[in-house]
Amino acid sequence: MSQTKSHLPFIYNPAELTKSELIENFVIRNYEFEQIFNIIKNDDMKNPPQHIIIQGQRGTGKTTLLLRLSYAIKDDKELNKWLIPVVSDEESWGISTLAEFWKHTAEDLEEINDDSIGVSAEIEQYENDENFGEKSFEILQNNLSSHNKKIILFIDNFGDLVKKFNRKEHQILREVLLTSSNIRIVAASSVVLEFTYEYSEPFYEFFKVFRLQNLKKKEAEKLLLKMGESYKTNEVKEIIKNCPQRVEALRRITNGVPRTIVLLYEIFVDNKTGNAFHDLELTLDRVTPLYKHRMDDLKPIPQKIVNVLALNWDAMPVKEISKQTKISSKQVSAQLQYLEKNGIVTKERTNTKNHIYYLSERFFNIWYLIRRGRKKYKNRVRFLVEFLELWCTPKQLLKTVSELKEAMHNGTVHEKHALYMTEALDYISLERSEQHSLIAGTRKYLEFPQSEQVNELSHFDIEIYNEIIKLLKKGDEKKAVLMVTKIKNKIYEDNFLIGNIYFYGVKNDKKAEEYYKKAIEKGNSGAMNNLAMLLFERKLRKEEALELARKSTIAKKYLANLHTLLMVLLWNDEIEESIKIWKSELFKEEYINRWIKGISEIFNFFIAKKQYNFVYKVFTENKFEIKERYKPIYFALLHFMGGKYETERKKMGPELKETVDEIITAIKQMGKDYS
Amino acid sequence: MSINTIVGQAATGENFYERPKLLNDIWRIIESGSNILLVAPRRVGKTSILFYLSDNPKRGFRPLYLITESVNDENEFFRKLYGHIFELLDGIEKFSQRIKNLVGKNKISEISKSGVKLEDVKLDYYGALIKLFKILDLDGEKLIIMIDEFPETVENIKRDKTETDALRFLQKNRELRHSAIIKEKAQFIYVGSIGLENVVSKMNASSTIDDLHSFGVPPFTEKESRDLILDKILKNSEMQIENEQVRFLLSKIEWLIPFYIQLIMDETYKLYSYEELKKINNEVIERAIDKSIQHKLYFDLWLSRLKTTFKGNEFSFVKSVLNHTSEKDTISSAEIYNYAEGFNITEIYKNIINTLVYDGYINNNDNPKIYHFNSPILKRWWYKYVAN
Repeated sequence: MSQTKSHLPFIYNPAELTKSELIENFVIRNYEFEQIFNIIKNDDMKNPPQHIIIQGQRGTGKTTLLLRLSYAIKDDKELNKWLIPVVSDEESWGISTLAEFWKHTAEDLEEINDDSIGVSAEIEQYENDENFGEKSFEILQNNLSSHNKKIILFIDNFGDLVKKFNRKEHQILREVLLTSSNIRIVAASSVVLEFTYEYSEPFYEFFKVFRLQNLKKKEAEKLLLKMGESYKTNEVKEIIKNCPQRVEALRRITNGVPRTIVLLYEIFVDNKTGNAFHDLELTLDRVTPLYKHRMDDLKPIPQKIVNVLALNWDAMPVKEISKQTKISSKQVSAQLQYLEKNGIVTKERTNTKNHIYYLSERFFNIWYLIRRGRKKYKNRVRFLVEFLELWCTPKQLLKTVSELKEAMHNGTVHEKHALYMTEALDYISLERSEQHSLIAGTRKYLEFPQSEQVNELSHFDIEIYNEIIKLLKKGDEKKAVLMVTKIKNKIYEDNFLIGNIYFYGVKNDKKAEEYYKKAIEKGNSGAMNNLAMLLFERKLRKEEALELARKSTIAKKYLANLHTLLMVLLWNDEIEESIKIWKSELFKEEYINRWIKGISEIFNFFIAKKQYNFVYKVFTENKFEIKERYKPIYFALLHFMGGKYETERKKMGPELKETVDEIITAIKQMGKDYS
Repeated sequence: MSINTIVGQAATGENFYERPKLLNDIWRIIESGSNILLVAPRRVGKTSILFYLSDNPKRGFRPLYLITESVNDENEFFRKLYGHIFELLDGIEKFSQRIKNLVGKNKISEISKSGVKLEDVKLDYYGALIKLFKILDLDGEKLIIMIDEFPETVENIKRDKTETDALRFLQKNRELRHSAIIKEKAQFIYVGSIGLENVVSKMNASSTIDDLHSFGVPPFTEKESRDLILDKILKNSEMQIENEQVRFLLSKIEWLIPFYIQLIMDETYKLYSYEELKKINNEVIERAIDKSIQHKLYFDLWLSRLKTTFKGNEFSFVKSVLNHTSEKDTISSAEIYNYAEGFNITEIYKNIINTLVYDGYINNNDNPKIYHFNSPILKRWWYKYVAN
């Protein structure tokens, strides 16, 4: 790959890469490549061979895989003696019959194999023959047999090609594939293939199918790191290490489509300190020409339907589409069939007669929402990306972020200092490389008026805290305590501070509890809260935890201890009181909007405690756009509710599945842990 | 090394699992002089058997395989047959004079495997075929003409021409089989993925095939299935499966046809590779089965085939019967009749059920009054993707 930035044509046309570039960058789809190559290598084609179809949606790497296989055959000294790979043009220009297909194949063959020169001319002589189709294949086959050669046809967009053939041509092609030992087909197709035929489809039944799944986390990182190698930069490596949540959120929201991940690569590299949503926005510009073209190609009525589906994002039934477009249900159904056949829309079957539909290419949907929709539609994407980014943040970073957020919402004069201190403690416990990401993340979240806090982030005495932790880890408690007393501008009581250092920094629960209790004796509400939280996290002594949490909020109410109280109430199955706290103290716009981690935990715990209807009501009332902001949790809730909510649950886009599954697992675990 | 599966394509050479008893039975019938109708639902391995017979003939016999799925015209069928037999001639030049005699006064513009091209006139290939057989010298061997997708050919003619033409075609084939010249030199095996008996029965033309010896190809036995897995599929593979898991897998498949066995083994291997498993246990096999029914391309044809064959109330009836069976595991003949009444097809419903039986959807082997899906895999797929 060149050292300049990649550009749209490459991404959408891997055939423009040189052979060495393609091979060098082929890091995903190794399983499929090896399996298919083994099939080819271990068969001398003395008998009719196994034909293969590679299926996957747009951008999953089908064309790249076909090309990789063709190169592998060319490079194989044993195979290339007798097997000729022929790669057909992607768009199959001008082919509308089987005979034309054979002629086109002959022409492709002539370009790469001197022994075949003249075959297409011979075929042309029979153009007006009644049995032209049969004849053209016979000529091709004879040419191959006479030179002891066989061909392997790599055909892209196979579904589009065979769609043009009539029934008889399908039957003839099937006969050929069943009986000829001169030709093997390795075809690629999007999922449109399944909906292509109105009549009997024995045609595909003897292809072996390889489905290209969307990339999981490891594979996506592998791809990005490889690109980093090609560009000779370490940026992506750093981003994957320091802000893995950024990469992961984007992988999930774009459904792990390789082409999209490649697009995102350069954005990552150019925007080291960005966030996922911003990354997304930057990427969209690069695909606008393609997607705009796709929309413009549609006639007005299908355009209207696509518009409605895109803005809704979740799947919709025909009735709802009809209502919003003001087009009759019958016409909508007919248009949906057309859109489905062309891979623009996917149908999700439900338990009823009424199925639901969503846009197949999720990145296209995102593009639409951000580029074409109003702010409220753009926000849908932003909310989800923020949720995913947080959900995917590794634990060690998560604690820091949540603590910072919590600290921000303290309504006391100590708020500023709590921020510094908390930050310092967590900052110390992180490696240098993570500190950078912490500050970057913190800046983003500090969007409150007290922005002077942002400027003061770096201005605290890290060294002293470093030293204190070192001493405590060594066991030199006396010296550590002495140092604590010398800290300037601290506002917390020494025992509380030491308790925190033990809890967050040294991770010694016993010692933390000891010092918290000392602080509690002096009426320190922060210590009450933190000890309650410690007990909660360790799943110990729930009644004591509840007592502490209550005492803390009686002394002074703030976000962190209200959160702790609610969680501990639920743990103790005090459902009504927990709901009261929620309603009176925590169900506020600023918390819903900014405190994603805390609110998520609360929802998850309510669900773990089987309070489905309560949570469902909160979502359906949709105050503060809560359903959009916490969409994955909403769908996880529907899973637990089951029954009549199953259809609603199926409206979830495929990009959410992985996250929703994780949330469901987490909730189930919570239910077990806090039963 | 990976596993060795063939999905969909006919199994040939080393990939073919020999069933000596079955093959001996077929040869026994051939040697008795009968013409055979090979009967079994799709995917059971009929074409593979034909290929095997073709590659491994018994002394005194010369198999000839042809597939006529695309044929929709009587003359075209005989042209194709003619073309294949033509290949048996030793060199065109040697016999060109004789060919000229075959076509009479008509001028030949070309002779090839595709047939004989005459100027201005269409050759009657049935007549030409008979004449060709007269001059055919097989050194004392008998030709076994194996015609794959013959029932499809009948349906094509019925659809694209008329039912009368289809009937005529069947009669012509019967004539051919009974012609003294042909009988001396050839026997026929007819095979199709749809039931010829059902096709002709709908046309009230059962007499056109009552001379055929119907031979059913059964699914694999458990031993054969186990051997297929352990000796063929897993041969040289790094993935190994214990006997217990093989038993479990086969118990889940129940209707042991090579296609399902290979499909699930494929999915098992995928899980084994992707997840870097050390061992295959029952849970992995269950997951592999779940994954395999997600292959719409393999299973959709079970539904689409019905959509082509049955229209209107007939299709609604079929769908209701299969939905019911997928949900409740079985359906009684009384319940079937009830559906037939509901869709006003009491006159023809039995034929429809016979089609479902022949084509491998359901069977009533255990109890004539109770039907269930042949394959639990198909049932699972139907329940998930069609009934719901």
